[in-house]
Amino acid sequence: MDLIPPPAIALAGLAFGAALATPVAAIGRLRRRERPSRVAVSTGLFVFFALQLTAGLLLLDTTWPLTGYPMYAMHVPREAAVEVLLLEGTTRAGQRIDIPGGSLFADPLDLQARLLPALNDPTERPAAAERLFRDYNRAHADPATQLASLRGAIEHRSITADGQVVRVVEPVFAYPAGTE
Amino acid sequence: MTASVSPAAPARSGLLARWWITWDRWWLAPLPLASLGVLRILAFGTLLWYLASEYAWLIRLETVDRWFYRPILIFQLLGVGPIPAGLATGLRPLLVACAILGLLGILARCCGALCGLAYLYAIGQVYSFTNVHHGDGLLGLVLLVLAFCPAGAALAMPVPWHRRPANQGSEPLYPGWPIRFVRVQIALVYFLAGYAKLALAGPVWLDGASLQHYLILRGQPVGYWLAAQPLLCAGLSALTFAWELSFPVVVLWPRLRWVYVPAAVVFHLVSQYVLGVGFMYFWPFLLAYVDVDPLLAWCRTAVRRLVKWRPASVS
Repeated sequence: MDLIPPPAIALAGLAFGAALATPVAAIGRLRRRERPSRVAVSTGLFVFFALQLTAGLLLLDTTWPLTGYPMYAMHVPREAAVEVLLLEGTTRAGQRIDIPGGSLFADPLDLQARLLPALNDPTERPAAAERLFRDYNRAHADPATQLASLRGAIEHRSITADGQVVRVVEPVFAYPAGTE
Repeated sequence: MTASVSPAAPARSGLLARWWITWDRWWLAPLPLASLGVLRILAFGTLLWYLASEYAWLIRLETVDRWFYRPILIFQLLGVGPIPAGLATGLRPLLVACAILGLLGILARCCGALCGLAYLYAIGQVYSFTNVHHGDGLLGLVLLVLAFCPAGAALAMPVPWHRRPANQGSEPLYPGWPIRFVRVQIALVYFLAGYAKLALAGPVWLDGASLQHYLILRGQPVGYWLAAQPLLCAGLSALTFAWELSFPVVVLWPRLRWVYVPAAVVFHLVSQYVLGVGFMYFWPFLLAYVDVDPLLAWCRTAVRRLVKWRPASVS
């Protein structure tokens, strides 16, 4: 909220107030014998777009399906590194496999958005790793393709001034412990 | 006291009444009924594409650990929990059947309502297990809009129980609010995306560093190449920023759609390629900016020519 310019907050307040007041105006229109279907459509449209504008100006995400659209909007300094979760496992058949982020959710970054805060916290890390391990095995019915162990690492990616991508991999967990 | 209030009251109500007249005149101005048929085909076609390509992720959620579930606001308010086992699988054939019926214009309003609610529920579940994304909502909203208008009255398969109005020679019209709803919502989405960049980053967003950052985060092969071109990234950032913020001019000056709409399609295709962000269920609705009148006239002329040509060629 601190980042939103005050005029935008004021405009969002106006839009929200108008959305709340519109049904009252609709009652007045119905009393003036305007066609109910016409009043319903025009009131519905006004309320919808007033609420959409409110959510959009306040950059709200949780109000989906009426949201703000802050995707890719934050400014990131050129030298800043991004963190990408890398997962690797060993199946019960003994095969080492890479587990792409997109194997659990449609967007590969969704998994790390949920898991990275827990994995970065040493007290939560073991439980998070166990959950991930069990979840993977639940989704794979064939025992041979199920995991015997799971390892996670964070890749820090950054870009140099001359455009070279630098990757530094930092191991963060192994489950069960000791299977690094 | 009374005398000082009473003259103002009619003036205020007059202003409000004029506002609503102007509002209604714009939204309810007639459009060819065929454009509604095109919107219906677009919506149910896109839904079928979703069911074929991404619905499996909803089924997958039935087995995902409940720890991941953090309900979006509307689910919290309605007390909606994680998707019960078997629901997504059971719902799939029903949704496919409804989407096909809706595509054909049979029971289109019922299909729009059912598919819209089911789709929003499905996407809400996905977002509750992951994060809110921004390209999926429009399809659900359009399906719900179709439930409130004569969506099956044009470009529909004829059915015996539905009597069509006799053709009176002129193009049938209807209040064009569903098409304008899509156009305005799309324009708002782009504008609000530009506004978010302005609010959260300011003009410094144009330096291209943010785009480089997101390119290496998404990790697409061509994205790495693009991230290594700082000048190109800055140019693309500036173009995107200007294009997003100015997109609503299309609603006011429709001729500009010939620039903005193809640019939008290119934007989404490039985003898919370099960022892996497709908006696959959003950008098909950019076709709502196309007026169907000239297109239909061209089709009719082509069909007439074909009909005339056949007997001649046979004889």
